[in-house]
Amino acid sequence: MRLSSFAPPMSLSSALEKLATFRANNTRASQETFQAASVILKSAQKLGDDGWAVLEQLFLASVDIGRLDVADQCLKQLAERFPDSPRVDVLTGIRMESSEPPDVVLQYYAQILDADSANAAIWKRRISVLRRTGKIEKAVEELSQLLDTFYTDVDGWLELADIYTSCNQYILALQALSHALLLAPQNPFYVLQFAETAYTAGDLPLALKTFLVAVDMCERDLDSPEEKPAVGISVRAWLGVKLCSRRLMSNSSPSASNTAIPKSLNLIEELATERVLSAYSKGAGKVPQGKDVVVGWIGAR
Amino acid sequence: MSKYSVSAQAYFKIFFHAAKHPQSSVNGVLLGKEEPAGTVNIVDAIPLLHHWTSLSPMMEIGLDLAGRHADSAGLKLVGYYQACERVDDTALAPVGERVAGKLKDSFKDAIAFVIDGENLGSGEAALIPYISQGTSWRPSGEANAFSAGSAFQLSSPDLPRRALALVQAQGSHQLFGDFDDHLEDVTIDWLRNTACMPSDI
Amino acid sequence: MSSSASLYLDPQIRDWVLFPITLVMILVGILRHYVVILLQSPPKNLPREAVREQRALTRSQVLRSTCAKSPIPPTYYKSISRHLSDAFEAGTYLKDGPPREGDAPKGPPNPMSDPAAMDGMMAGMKTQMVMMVPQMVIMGWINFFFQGFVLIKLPFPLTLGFKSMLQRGIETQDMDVRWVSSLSWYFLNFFGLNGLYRLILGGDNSADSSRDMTASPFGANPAAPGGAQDFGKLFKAERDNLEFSEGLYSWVGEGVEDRVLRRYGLST
Repeated sequence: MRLSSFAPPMSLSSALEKLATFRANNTRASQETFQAASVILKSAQKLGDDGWAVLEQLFLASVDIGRLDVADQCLKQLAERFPDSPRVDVLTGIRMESSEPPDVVLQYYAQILDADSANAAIWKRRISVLRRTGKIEKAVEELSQLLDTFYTDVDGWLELADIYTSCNQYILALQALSHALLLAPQNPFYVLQFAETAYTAGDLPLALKTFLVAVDMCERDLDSPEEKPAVGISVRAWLGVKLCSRRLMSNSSPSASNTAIPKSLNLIEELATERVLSAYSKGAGKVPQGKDVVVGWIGAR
Repeated sequence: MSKYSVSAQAYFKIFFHAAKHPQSSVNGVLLGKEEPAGTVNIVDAIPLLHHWTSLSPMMEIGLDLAGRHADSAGLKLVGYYQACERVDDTALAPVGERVAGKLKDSFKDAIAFVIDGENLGSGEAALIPYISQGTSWRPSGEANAFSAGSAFQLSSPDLPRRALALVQAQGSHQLFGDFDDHLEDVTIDWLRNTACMPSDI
Repeated sequence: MSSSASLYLDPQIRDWVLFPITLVMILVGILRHYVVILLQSPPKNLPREAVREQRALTRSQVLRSTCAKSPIPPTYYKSISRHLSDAFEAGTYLKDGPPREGDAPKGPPNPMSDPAAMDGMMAGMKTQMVMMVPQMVIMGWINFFFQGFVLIKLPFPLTLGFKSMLQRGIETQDMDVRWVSSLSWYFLNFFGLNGLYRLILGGDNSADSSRDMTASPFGANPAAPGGAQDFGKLFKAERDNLEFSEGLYSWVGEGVEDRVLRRYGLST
C-alpha cells in the first residue's frame, strides 16, 4: 500500500501478473486489484482473452470499493463484446445491487431464472440478495434447492452452514458442513470449521475427535513431529483439542452424535498441552507473542 | 448511565480491524478502566476473530487470553465490538449479545460497539453503541453518539480522520493482526499490535 | 534392394505434389476448425429439474468415493446415505417427479421422437459432415492425379512390416520400405497433423479429423442424449451401491487419537 501510493504506476506486465494471481487464488483484494487493473483499463481490448478477464475483475473490484463510474465503463465494454453472455448478466445484476432497491434486482433475477431456470450463478446472486434483505427463511429454502440441484457447490454448502450458525441452528449447520467435507475431504479448514461448530453445538466428543482429525491431516507428512513446534493451523487444532479434552475431563458431556469419548483422554490432554507450548517456544528467527497469557490459560483448570 | 471515552489506541485498532477484513465480519473486546468520576475509559482493544465469528471455541480461548492480558496490564474487559460483513448491517449479532452479556457479569457497565460501515470512510466516528437492557442489547438511543454532549466521547475529535488517513496513506491496517491471524502465525502480536500504531501513541 | 539406390525422384514431384498435398491438408484442417465453430449451435439450456436428475448420481458417487475413510461421522453418513437411498427408491430426483400409481412403465424413449435428443443428433451429424466431405474430396484428388506416385524417402531404415503402411497404392514387391507413396503420405498427414493444429489453433481445436473417425454422430455430444438414459433404472442400481458402501464405511475419526498418540510415541 505504501508503495502503491507513491511509486510510479506499475508496469503493465507486473500488473497483469498480479491480477492473474488474484484470479487464480480467488483473492478479493479489491483495493489492490483496482489499482493494478486501472493501469490496464485503457488497453484491455488489446490484451485479447486475458483482457476481458481483467475487465471483469476490475468491474468487481470497483463495485466493491464504490467506484461505480469505473464499474460502468467496464460493464459497457463487456456488454458490447459479449451481448448475450450469462456471465455479463450476472455482472449487470451485481451492478444493479449496488444502486437499485432489492426488489428491482430480485425482479431482474427472477426474469432471467424464468428463461433459464438452471442458471446457477444468477440463482446464487438471488439467494445472497434474499439473505441480505433479511429474508433468511426464503434464502435457506432457495439455497437448499440450489444445492439439491448443484450438489457439488462447496461454497454453497459453506454459505448454508454459515446461515444456520448465525441462526443458532448448529445441528443443521453440521449437516451442511458434512456435505462440504464430503466434497473437499482434503481441506483441513473445513474440518476445523466442523469441529468448532460441533463444539458450539455442545457435542464435545465429536468436536474433540474432529480437532484430532484436523491435527492428523496437518501433521500427516511430518517425520518426527515431536521435535518440531506446531505451526500454521495445527496450532488452532491443538488448542481446540486442549480445550475439548480439558472440558471433557472435568465433566463428560453427552454427545448428540453418540461419539465415544477416547479412553486415552489424559494422554491426549497432556500431548495437546505440550504441542501448544511447543508452538510458543522460541525458534530460529521467530519470537512468538503473548506466550505468558497462553501459559496462564493452560495452567488454569 | 455512565459515560464512555474511547482512546486513540482503541479506536485505531477497531478501525484497522474492520479495514483489514472488509468482506468478513470481525469482532474483538475492549479494555479499559472505570475512572472515579463514573466515566469508563476505554484504553485499548484486542481484536479476536475474522473467520467464523459465530463459533465459540476460539472465541472462548481468545476471551480468556484477553482477560488475562488485561489483568496483567491492570485493566478490565469493558466491552465488545464487531463489524458485520455488509456495510448496511449494524445489528449486534447473537454471538455479540452473548459475549457482551458475559462481560457484563464481571463488569456491570459493559458496552458493545457495532461498526457503522457506511461511516467508516466519512471521517465521523463509525461506532454505534449498544447498551444492555435486562438480557437484551439495544442501540443506546442517542441520535448522534460521540457528538458534543453525548455520553460517548472520543479522546480527540479528529481520531476518525486520522485513522482513515493512516489506512489510506500508510496501509497501517496491513500490519494489524487478530487472534485468528495469531493462530496461523504465532509471531503476530495480537494482544498489543504495536507495529501498526503511529509513533506518538 | 539395389534398385532403390538407382531410384531418383524428380524435384518437381517435391514442389508440385508433396508440398501441395501437405499444404492443402493443413489449410483444410484450419478451415474446418472455423466451419465447425460456425456450425456449433449454442448448448441448449436444460430446465432445473433435468439438471437435477442428471446430477443426482454424483451425490451418491461423492458419498461413496470416500466411504472407506469418510470425513464425516457415522450419524451424518448414515442419514445422508439413507436419505439418498430412499429418494432413489421413491424416484424423487426424476425429472417428471416420482412415478405415480398406475403409470405404465415406459421403455427408454425413442430418440427420434424426443426433440431435444433429435437436436443433439443433428448437431453431431452436421459436424460429422464437415469432417467427412473434405477428406473424401482430398483423397479423391490424390487418387485421381497422383496415383502411384512416390513422393519422399524417409531418412531412416524401416522393417518390411511398414511396407503396407508406407506404400499404399504401389504394388511393387522389391522397393525399399523407405519410399512413401502419395496415398500413404496422405494418411500420414491425416493422422499426424494434430500436433501442428494444436500449435496453430490451440489445444481445444476441432481441426483434427482422425479423432472423429471413432465418434459416431449418435454419441458425439455427451450432454444431448440425456433423454435416452433411463434414470429410474440407474437410481435403483445405485441403491445397491450405497448399501454396499455403507458396509465398507468407516469414519476417519475412528481411532484418530491412537494414530496421533502413536505418532508422538505415546501409544498405550
